[in-house]
Amino acid sequence: MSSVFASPQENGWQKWKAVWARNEALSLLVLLAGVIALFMVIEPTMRKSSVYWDLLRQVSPTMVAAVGITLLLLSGEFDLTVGSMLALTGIVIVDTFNRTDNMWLGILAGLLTGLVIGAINGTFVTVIGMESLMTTLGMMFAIRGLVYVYTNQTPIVDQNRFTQFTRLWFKNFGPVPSPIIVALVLVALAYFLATRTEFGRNTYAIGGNANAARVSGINVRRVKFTLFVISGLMASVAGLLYTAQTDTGYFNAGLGFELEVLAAVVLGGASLAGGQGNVTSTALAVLIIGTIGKGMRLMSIDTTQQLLVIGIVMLIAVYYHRIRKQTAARLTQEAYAARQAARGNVLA
Amino acid sequence: MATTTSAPLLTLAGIRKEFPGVVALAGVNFELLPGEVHALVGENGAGKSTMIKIISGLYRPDAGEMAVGGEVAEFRSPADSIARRIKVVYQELDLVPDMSVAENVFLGGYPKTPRGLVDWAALNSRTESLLAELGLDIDPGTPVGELRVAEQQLVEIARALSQQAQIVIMDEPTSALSPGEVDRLFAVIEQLQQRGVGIIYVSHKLDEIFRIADRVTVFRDGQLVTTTPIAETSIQQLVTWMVGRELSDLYPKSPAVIGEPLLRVSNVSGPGIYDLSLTVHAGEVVGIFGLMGAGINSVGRVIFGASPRTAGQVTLAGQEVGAGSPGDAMEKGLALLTENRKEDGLVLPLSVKNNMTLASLRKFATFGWLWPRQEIKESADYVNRLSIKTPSLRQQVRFLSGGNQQKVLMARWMMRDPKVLLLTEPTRGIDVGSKAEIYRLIDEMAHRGLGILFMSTEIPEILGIADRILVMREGRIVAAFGRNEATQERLVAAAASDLNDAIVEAG
Repeated sequence: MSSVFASPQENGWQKWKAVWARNEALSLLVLLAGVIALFMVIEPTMRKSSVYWDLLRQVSPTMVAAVGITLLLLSGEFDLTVGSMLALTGIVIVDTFNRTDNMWLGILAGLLTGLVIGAINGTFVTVIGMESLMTTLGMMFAIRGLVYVYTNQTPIVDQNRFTQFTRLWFKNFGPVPSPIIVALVLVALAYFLATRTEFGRNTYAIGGNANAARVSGINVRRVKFTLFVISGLMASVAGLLYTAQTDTGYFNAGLGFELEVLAAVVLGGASLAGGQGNVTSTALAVLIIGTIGKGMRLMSIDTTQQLLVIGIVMLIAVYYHRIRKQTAARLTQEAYAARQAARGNVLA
Repeated sequence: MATTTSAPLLTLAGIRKEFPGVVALAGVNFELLPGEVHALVGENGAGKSTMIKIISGLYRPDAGEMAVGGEVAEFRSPADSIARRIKVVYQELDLVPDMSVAENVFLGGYPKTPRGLVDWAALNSRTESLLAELGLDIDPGTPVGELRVAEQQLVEIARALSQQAQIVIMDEPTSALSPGEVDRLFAVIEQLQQRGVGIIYVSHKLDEIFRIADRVTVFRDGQLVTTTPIAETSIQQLVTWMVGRELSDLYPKSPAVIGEPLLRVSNVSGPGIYDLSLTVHAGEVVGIFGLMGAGINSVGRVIFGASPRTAGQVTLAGQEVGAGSPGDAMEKGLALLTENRKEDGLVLPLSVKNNMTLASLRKFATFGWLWPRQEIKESADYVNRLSIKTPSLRQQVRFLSGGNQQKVLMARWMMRDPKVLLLTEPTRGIDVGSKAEIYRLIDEMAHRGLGILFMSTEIPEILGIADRILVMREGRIVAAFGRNEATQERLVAAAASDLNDAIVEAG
């Protein structure tokens, strides 16, 4: 790789800089390691491995939802309904538990909710041609309102106490918590979908230049519709994990969750204009934000102050990305100019 | 025209610029005189754009000195260059489309009332007088987005005047202009000359340079080859300097072996074209010539289904092609190269390979799962076959030169093994070396039995490669010539309508 990119006179340090600048996931890994190291120094509890297993459990709903949003954003579209979906899925699951006394029906109903809402979002955007940011913002309020009206603002508790269901959250395989297994499997699937399939390639092309994709025979609407459904489905899986934690459907679940998810997606380097980004980086970004939150909770920093710190860290992270991307662009352009000047006569 | 006795506006002495490992500009000496049009020519990457970036303050030279109006100039940023009254009119214009002409002309330096508010009356009247001086009849209140590209360009020049620019650099200013508009631009350039403004004029269109320039400087491989008065050289000589050897055959043309009819278009209408009928045979190159705005850009899009077809029938090798469906057209064996690479051709953030294989992914996939090895192998084959200059298949396509980008798009469609290829202005804005290669590819494909429909606004290439030439005017085919009966004069006469004559006169 580096031999292909490196211009003739790059020394060791410059080579490392180029690798860092050009590899999104690697640069985030460096950032994650830095954050962990920092907390290990200032907070002794952060040196225990149990803290990290716990952290992985806690970030898994965010990771699942963020991966769905990343895929959609690659095509240039937004979905802001994930927070409301977390509440709606929880309500639907537990309500179905109580009405049918069947755990599997409840889970199925929860996933179906994601599918249906995703399809509705997809229809608005791809069939009617509405703008996705505003459409899903409207849907976000509508779904939250529906949840408030339906529950009359009281939590719905699982009367059957399905312990099998709560294991989805609490069970460990060795030291590994089950929800992170679910999340990582979905990250892997999304990774292969994005990089190894025709569908994924089409997604990147649409986000990069929808006109070019259309003229190349790609069915832009169909791909986008499918992505909305995937995003909805991922949001309901996140809701499933979240609900398993308390075995209760909360009308207030996931308030502000969509922004938390979007923050991770952006920190992961996905372009809001579409066409650029990858799911691995999003997953790493979720871990970074999770680690910072966890560290501050352990240091018993007041939640109001936490918000301040997270905000500042986000700004620093976005700046870090900008520097990295600029470096990458500059290196590529210099290398290109160098080659052009070096290659001699173009017709030779 | 140039008063050679006066002191130079701009002097470059021994300017050198290196990028890691190589020299992009090797000790260039250059002079721009007041009232002079000084053309820069050279292949892409020869050093012209590096030099312009140095003059405009985007790059800092590694060695050498620059002087503006006799005073040493060391630019740290474009702002320094603008402060010394240097103005660059880029190919992609940097105007604000929603703001009025007047607002754009004085952008960044509005006339103020004593209270510090924008003096709208003065803004409009001063714009009006600037436009009048340039001989332009444009309402200063019109939003720039509603103007034609040619008029927008003139607004840019008015902006240069409002900034009292002494040096104006124009980068490929005529690439989107019709002949009438080019005439008007040239009239404005002469106006600037009379005011003593020095103009650096970058263009790939050599015939234009002979119309407008006083002197020409040729670059090759970072070296300044020569600077010469235009009257003492010829197109042939310039090309030889640019490519470093004699380019004997720009238009290779093997004897055509015309086969069965492949593409039949009957009475087709759509946005910009009316009642179009034509046939393309196997092994035949059919050219459609038309002036800017004559509708030739819509022909390919409507046949292919990228724009709606409101009437008529298209068949390919006897099979009917559905209207408005690029997917169906591709299935039947059609391919379309659109006229605007960046708008609906390339996916800029994606790699060379992913751009190439975009239209033929199905070929490399089973049930949607891609097999990268085969994909990489075939992409690499095309990179070699079309001699695409790229460091790797993973390079983002945005970093390639225009000519190489165009070849990537050619590869995208060749990979599908189409029966008929629709090419809309495939050589627009690319250098002469890449042009020659694209002509060679077209000839090769026709020789292999493909049918080619070639739309262009440039007469020499149409004459050079087409077996049959149709002329389009106002969306209709108005004349047809065989290869042997077509001449430049006949094509122009057929293509120019009263409307176009009017524009020429107005200019």
